[in-house]
Amino acid sequence: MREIYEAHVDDVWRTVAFLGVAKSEVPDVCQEVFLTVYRRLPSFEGRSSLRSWIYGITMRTVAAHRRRAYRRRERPHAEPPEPEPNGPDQEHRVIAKQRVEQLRMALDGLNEQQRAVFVLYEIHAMKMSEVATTLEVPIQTAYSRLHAARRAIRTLFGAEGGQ
Amino acid sequence: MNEPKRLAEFDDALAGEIRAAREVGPTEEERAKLAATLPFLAPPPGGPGGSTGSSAPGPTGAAPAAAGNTSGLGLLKAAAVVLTLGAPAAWLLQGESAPASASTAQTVVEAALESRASESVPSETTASRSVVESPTSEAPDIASPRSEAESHESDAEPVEVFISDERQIPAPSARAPRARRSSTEHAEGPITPRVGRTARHAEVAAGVEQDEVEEPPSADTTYEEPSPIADESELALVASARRRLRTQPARSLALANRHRERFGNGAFAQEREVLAIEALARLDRRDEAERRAERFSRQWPRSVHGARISAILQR
Repeated sequence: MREIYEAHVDDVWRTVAFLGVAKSEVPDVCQEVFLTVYRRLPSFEGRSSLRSWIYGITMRTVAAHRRRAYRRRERPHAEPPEPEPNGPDQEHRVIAKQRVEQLRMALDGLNEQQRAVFVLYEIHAMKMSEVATTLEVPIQTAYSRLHAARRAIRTLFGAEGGQ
Repeated sequence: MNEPKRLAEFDDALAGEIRAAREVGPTEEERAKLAATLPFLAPPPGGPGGSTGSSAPGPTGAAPAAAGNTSGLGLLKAAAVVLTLGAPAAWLLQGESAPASASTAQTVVEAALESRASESVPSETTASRSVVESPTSEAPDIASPRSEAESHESDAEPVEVFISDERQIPAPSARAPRARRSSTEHAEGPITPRVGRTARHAEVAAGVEQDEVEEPPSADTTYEEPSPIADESELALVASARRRLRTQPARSLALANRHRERFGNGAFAQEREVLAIEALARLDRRDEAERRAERFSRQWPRSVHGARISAILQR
């Protein structure tokens, strides 16, 4: 189980972070994912790759978390301030964080299905067939969601460029 | 079927963001804290992070560092603590045959998970029943960022609280079928005055911008109360405010305020504030614009929108 954790913790964390979970709650959701993985591992039949299987659990855990958060009417609260940039390396990190934040905000404009496809294909660089398997949808559906997600994200980013 | 090229490989506007996103992951500290909450990952004696020895692995060992900024994980975390305390040799769970204490421990985890995982089941069913969308569909389904189920629950913010005006657009119910909504998504979706011709023509063809055509910008300076819009999702409100910024700044401001009222520090809070500041500036309400800009810079001191706001105020 440790090997599985080590091999997948980064991917799970990244997925959770980009699927709309507040930063402060990412560790909790990741914990829930790995507890579920541990609990269900004996029933893993190998019909998909282990990676797809874990992503599937991650998706469902995040969806359940979002529903719970919505019922509690939770809104993302202000994140703690970042430390002031100190040197070019730190500055580079701050810029990278800003870019990530911009992308996260844009992803918030997508529906859950489009967002999932976009995150798996564009950020995790999964193959489209694997995306479809993970999300349990026909591959054509995955393609059309990707298409719609790209259009939406581009519109949002284009709109942010000033007028 | 050939895989489409990924945006990170060719899209200048997005490649940087996506590459940065690919670097996101837990820090070493976050990784260690997470591992400490997973009973089956209790470090073996002498292993990484095992400086406290094998007597008290897991959350109790990490508590001094973790307690400060974690709010607790409720039932699951409690289960993890029970597990760790009740099974000091929980790392043995990695083995094929779990000891009796581990079985008990697993039961606790399962009991904890059942209450939460039960909510996952509908999502699986939903996924398997999901509508097959046409790959050639040109209507992006982006104006409803919340799931349908969530939309149903959003009835606490009724559309009817608006004081309608002569430009009232009939508001479809949240349960309106997709086909019915598709035209209104164009009306209130994230389409800016900068969109391409085709989209613009589609909007005009759908007759959704008649209000903007009929009303000259000068008539808008005192307008405060937004009329209902078809889709009150967060994105739709901001997009609608953006579209009206030039021609109807007061309406744009009202929509931005409406967004603030409903979504507070939501996903597009910064964009909303920029829009409101620009609308105020266009309405010659410069004092208010400057006050709002000050609040913005206090709240988001390093926002990428800072330069834009400065430019607006210097006009």
